[in-house]
Amino acid sequence: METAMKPRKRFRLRFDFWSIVTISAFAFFLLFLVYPLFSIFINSFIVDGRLDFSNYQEFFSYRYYYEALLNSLLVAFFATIFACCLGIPLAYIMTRYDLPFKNLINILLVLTLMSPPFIGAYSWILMLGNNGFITNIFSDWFNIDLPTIYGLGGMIWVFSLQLYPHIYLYVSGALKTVDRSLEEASEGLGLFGLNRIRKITLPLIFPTVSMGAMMVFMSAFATLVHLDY
Amino acid sequence: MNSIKIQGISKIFDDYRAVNNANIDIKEGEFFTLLGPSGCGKTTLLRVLAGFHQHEEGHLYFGDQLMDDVPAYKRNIGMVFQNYAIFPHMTVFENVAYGLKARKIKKQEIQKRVTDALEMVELSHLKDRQPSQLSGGQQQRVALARAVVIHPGLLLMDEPLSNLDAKLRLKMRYDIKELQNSLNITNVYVTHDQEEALAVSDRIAVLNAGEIQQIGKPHEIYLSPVNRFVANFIGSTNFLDGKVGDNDRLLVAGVDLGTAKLTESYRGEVVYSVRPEQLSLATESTQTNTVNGKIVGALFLGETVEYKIRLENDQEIQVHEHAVSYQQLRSVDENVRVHLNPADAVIFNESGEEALNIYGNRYETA
Repeated sequence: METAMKPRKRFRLRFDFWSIVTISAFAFFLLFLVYPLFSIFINSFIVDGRLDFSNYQEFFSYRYYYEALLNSLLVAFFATIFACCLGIPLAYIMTRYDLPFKNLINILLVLTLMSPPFIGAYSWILMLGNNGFITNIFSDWFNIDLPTIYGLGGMIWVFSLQLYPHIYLYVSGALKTVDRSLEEASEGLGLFGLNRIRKITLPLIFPTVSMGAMMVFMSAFATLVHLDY
Repeated sequence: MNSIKIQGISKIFDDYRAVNNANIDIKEGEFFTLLGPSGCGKTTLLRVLAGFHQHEEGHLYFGDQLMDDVPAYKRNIGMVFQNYAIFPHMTVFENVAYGLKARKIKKQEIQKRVTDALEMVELSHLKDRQPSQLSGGQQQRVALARAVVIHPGLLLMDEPLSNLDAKLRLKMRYDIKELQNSLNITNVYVTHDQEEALAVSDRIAVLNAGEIQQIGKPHEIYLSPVNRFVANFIGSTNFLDGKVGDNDRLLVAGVDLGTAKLTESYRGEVVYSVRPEQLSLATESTQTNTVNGKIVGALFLGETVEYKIRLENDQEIQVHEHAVSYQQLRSVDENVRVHLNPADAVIFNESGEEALNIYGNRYETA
């Protein structure tokens, strides 16, 4: 409201310290973000100095290319869903209940995010790969053949577990700020437990959940390229 | 509609007792207020009634039904929160309908009851608004409608007016009182504002540090406080040093006020507690029972004038006089004589813990 009450000032260019800061920020942004992305985008339409769509034609006519895109989408989509399924309940439990070793769990979750994806992938191979120790334990002791960690299913599995801390961090932050009296009001009015979470808590944290989901989706979508090669 | 019996209830947090051994009987349809300074345990006790806190000792009955282990959602209570707790992602209508939907009531009836409730709080024209578009007073009334639309057996209010501006607060006082009268719901109301409590309540319990100090009708609590805390917390009070001497003579600020009428025999120092409006400034020199003093401050408030007077023994007291005419106004530095009428005063023992001249009873339940 306060900002709306102020008369709008017309922007006037003055050469003081802050206009220099503004101009250099814009210059940095143009040079290092907009220019590289746009030049790739524009170059994709140009072959031998002429406007040409053959790059795109090639991309969509070879299975090898477009299937990579489809698989990326598929993996990112399912990884996002499973990461939400893991991250949201975990965040709820961690913020609402008094658990032992709460801080330790928190630190471990953040550590997962800090480790490079390559190391995460490698450790999963050590555990569940063809010669992984968990795979071996299951086949030697129980005579059970675990499904392979390689391929689409394995990727979704690893991505979900690698990326759900994003969701956890975002959502637990949001849950801490949710007004507890709203939840109490719901219980007082007769709606409790899962129904209360569905009707009150989830809608309140939905913007944050979608942001976390976006982070997971983009990470999964982008990381796949490295692993493809 | 419920009567409520709070029987020896204590709520213990880790190492301190937020509420200690509370005993209250609240009658059906009564407007009962828990009053006290912040941190006195009044909200904790209200939350015990609501079922948001589990008490460690004692028993809670609604009617003759034991409620100790009944969860909040089964208690059929309407609660108005201090911050209103309006669901921000629902319209006004959906907010009010929430409790009815939870009770699986038919759509048509929900429509009718919500419309009635919104009409009652004069908000039917805003039923499709988002809460963010409402003013504080309107949100307050949505919270009220949401609480009463489920026909609760008990209506709980936690400082519902503390976030409103002064003028609206006065209007809402009447509205809440009227609403409670017309619905005839048992109402437990929490406030730290003693004036508000006196205005709306049928009965008041004054709490301090988790202990109930006194339960009584507003005028009883105001005129016959059972201890120094209650006298000080409700309204403003002058405490004068006094003494009960031989033959029950009462001496206050060096003036002999005659025989003290006490409920039990007592000798020694006393605290003479008297309201500023019960004191008057003597006009005739012949008047007895007066103490000499000097006006050191005067606040003209329109209806009344508040004088700060320093007595001969250097104690400062407040005297309120009605401002009726120019002739009556007094100026600073004027020498005056303050008239003491022992019939108005409450006399406490030296520690201020016990009233000596009234029959106050902290657990009276009549």
